[in-house]
Amino acid sequence: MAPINELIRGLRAIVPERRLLLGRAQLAAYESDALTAFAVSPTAVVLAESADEVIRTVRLCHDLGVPFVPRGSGTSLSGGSLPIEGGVIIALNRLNRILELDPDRRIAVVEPGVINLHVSRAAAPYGLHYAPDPSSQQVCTIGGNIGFNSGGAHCLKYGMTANHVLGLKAVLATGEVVELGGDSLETIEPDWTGLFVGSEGLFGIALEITLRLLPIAESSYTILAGYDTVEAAGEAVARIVAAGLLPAAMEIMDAIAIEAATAAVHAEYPPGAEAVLIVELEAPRDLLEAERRRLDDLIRESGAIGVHTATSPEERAAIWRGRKSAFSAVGRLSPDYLVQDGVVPRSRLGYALRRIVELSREYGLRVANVFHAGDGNLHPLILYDGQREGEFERAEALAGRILDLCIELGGSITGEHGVGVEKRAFLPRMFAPDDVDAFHRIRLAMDPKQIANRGKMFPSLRELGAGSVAEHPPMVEAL
Amino acid sequence: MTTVSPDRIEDVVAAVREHSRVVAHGARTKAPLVAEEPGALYIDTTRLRGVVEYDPGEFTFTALAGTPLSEIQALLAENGQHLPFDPPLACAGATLGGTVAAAINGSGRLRFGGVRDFVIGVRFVDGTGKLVRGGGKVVKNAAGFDLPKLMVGSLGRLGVLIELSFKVFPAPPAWRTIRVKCAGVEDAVTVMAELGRRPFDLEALDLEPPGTLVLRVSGDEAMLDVHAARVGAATGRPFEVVAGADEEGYWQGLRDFAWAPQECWIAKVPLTLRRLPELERVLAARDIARRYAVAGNVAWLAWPVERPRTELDLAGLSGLFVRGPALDGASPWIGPTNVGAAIFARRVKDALDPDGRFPPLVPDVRAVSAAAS
Repeated sequence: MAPINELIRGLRAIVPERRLLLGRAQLAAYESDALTAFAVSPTAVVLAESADEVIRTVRLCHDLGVPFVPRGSGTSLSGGSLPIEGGVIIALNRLNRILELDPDRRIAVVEPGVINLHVSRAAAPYGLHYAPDPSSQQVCTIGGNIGFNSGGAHCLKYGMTANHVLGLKAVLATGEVVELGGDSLETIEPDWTGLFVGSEGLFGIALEITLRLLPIAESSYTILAGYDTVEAAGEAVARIVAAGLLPAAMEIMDAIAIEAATAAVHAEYPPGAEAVLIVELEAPRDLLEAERRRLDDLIRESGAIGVHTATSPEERAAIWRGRKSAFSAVGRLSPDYLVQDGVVPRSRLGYALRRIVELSREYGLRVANVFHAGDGNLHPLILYDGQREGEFERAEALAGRILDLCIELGGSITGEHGVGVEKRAFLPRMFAPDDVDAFHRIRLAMDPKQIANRGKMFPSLRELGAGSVAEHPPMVEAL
Repeated sequence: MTTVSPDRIEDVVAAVREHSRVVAHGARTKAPLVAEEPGALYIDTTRLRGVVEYDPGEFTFTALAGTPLSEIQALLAENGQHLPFDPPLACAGATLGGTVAAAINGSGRLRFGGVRDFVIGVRFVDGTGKLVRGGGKVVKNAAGFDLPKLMVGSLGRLGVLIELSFKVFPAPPAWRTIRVKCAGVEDAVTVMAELGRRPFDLEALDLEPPGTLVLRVSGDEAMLDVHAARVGAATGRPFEVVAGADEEGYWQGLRDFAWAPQECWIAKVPLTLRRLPELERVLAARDIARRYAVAGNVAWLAWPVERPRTELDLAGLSGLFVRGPALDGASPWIGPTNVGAAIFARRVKDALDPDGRFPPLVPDVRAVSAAAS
C-alpha cells in the first residue's frame, strides 16, 4: 500500500480541507455502521459533493492500491459500510440531488446520497411513489439500497430494489465510468443493471440511478390480528398465500417485539396476544372490497384472538408505527443486539420459528422476531450484553445456528441486508465452491486490485485487515 | 453443423469442455437469436426438460431450461397461478430457458415486471465448463451476485442455461379489455402518460397505431365491469369494454405475433413514451406493421424479409430481431450499440467466458460491424 502522505496529498487535490476528515475525533463517527459490534478506523473520510470528486477519489485509490468503502447513511445491518484499515471512506450523503423526475415516463434519476423516502416525497404530487420501503427509509440512501438490494415490508407484491432500478451510471473500481440499462422497462442486453444492484459495492460506486416509479395505491385495507402463538400467526400467513391473495405486505411481530413496541410508541395490540400479524391490501377502489372480504374470512378461520382494522390513513399509520419502531424498540430492551435476515420457504415458517425458540433457550439469550412473513424473510433480533464475558460470542454462535437452519430448509442467509462483513463465513455454506469462484471471478474482472469495499461478501478474513470486535460498541438505533 | 441434444447435465458440461466454440439454443422459436457459427458445436437444450420442484403453496417452481413454457403454464393454471410477465410464443413451443436468454416479455409485464423480476435462481454451465448456481429457490434473496438477472438477455453468450427457479403469482379471477379511440398518436401518448400515473392497476397498456389504446384490467368478477367502465371513462375518449373469449383471444394473438405478416422478421425495440411519436413517424412512412406495448416501453415491428435490412431506420433507437428466419450469420442487433456498457460487458464476459467459447456479446466490435453491414 502507498505511503499515507501520498494518499493524503492526492485527496487534498480533490476536495478542500474541510471536506477531508483525518483526525481521530473526526473519523470516530465513521468507525461503525448499524452493525455496531464491529469497528474499524479508516485513514481518511472524503465528503464528496460531486460525481467528479467521487470518480477522482476512486482513480486515486486505484492508482495507489488503497481500498475504499462507499458510505451513505451507515444504516447497513450487515456491516456493509464498515471501514477498511488503511482505507478511505467515500461519503456520498452530499450527492443528494434528484436530477430528474418525469411523471410521463414514471422515472426519477437520482444521485446515490438521496434518501429513500425523499424520492417518494418528490413523486407524490404526481400520484407516484418509489415502492421499496426499508424500515430505515427516512435515513437510508438510494446508493446503499443499490449496494445491498434492499427490501422492505412491501416487497411481497412490488419486489426489491433491483426490481425498481432501470439503469445506472457508475464508476468501477478501476476508475472507468460505465452506463448500464437506460430509462425503458425493456432492454436488448443482458441485465447488467440487475447484476450491479446487490453487488455490495464490490464493483464500484453508482453515481446516477434511474428509478421506476409506481402509482400510489388508491385504497388500502390493513388488518392486525393477534394470535396466541407465533406459529399460529405463521400458519395464517401460509393460509393467506395459499388462498391466492396477493397482499402488499404481511408482517409478524412476536411477544418480545409486541412488548417493546407497546412500551416505545404505545402501540395497542389485542390483549393476551403472543404474536400479531399485519396484512395490508392495496387495490383500486372498486376492487378492494372483494379482496377485503376474502381476507377477513381467512383471518377469522385462522383462529385470531383479536383483530384491529384500518381503512383511514391515520389508522393505517398507527398500525405501521408499532411495526416500524419495533427494531429500535427492541433495542431498548437490551444493551446490544444482532439481527439476522435469513429466508425460509413460507411453508416452513412455523417450523423455523419453533427452532429459533429452542435455540434461544439452548444459548440462554432472548430472541425477538419482527419479520416480513409473506416473503419468509425472518428477522430474529438476538439480545445480548457485550460487557458480559463471552456473551457476544454466544450471540454470534446462535446467529450462525439460525443461518444454518435457513440453509438447511432450502432458504437463504440474507433476504435484504446483504452478506456484508457479518455473514461472510456463511456464503460458502449456501453456495458450492464453483459458485463462489464464479462470483469471485466477476469481482476480479471488475476490480483486479480488490479495493472496492474489500472484506465484504467473500469469506477471506485476511481481506479485512485489523478489524476487530469493539469492546462495548455504542448503541446505534437501527430504524 | 454438429448438434447434440443432451438429456443429462453432466453431458452439457462435457460438451462445453470439449469444444472451443459452443452455441446453445432451445426450441428455436426465436431463430434470429441463435448465433450462426461455422464449426461450433450446437447444444440443443430441449431434452433437458421437466419441472424439478413445484409446491403450489410456496408460489415458486424450479424447472430445467428446456421445459416448454406451455407445460409450465398448464401446471400453474391447475393451481390458479400464472407467470405475470405474460411470455410470448408458448404456443409455438418456446422454452423457459429461451424466454430467459432472450429477455422476452408480453404486454402483461406492465403491472408486476418482466422475466427479470420473476426469475429467482439459475444453474448454468459457464465458458470454463463449470456448473454455476446463483440465487436460490426462495422469493427473497440478497446473497451473492444476482446471476439469475445477469442471465436474462444473455442470449447464450455467457453460459448454457440448465435450470431456472421462478416466483409466480396468483392468476387473476377475471379479465376485461378496454379499447380506447384516440385522435392519433400524439393524443394516444398524452392519454398513456396520464393513465400511467393513475392507480388503476393496469395489466397492459398497448397502442395499436395510430390511435387505438388497448388496456387490460383484472380482478374479482363482481366489480370488474364497474372498474373497467371507470378506467375507460377516465380517458375522456370513446371506449368499449370487451370480455370473454374475444378478450382472451386478443391477447393470445399478441403472444403469437398474429398481427404480423407471414414473411417477416419481428424486432423488439426498447423505447420510452417520449420517443414513441418519432419512431411512429419513421415506421408509418415506411408502412411497417407494428405495435407499441407496455405503456410505450417497447415497440414490436415486422420487417418484411424481402426488404433489405439496411433500410431499417429506428430513429436512432436500437433493436433486436427476435423472430423470423435465421439471419445467415448477420447480427440480430439493429442500430447503435450501448457504448456506455461496453467495458462492463467485456469484464463480465472475461470472467464467465474467458476463452470466448460462446458467441460474442452485443457491445463487441464484431457484433456492431456486422449489424452495420
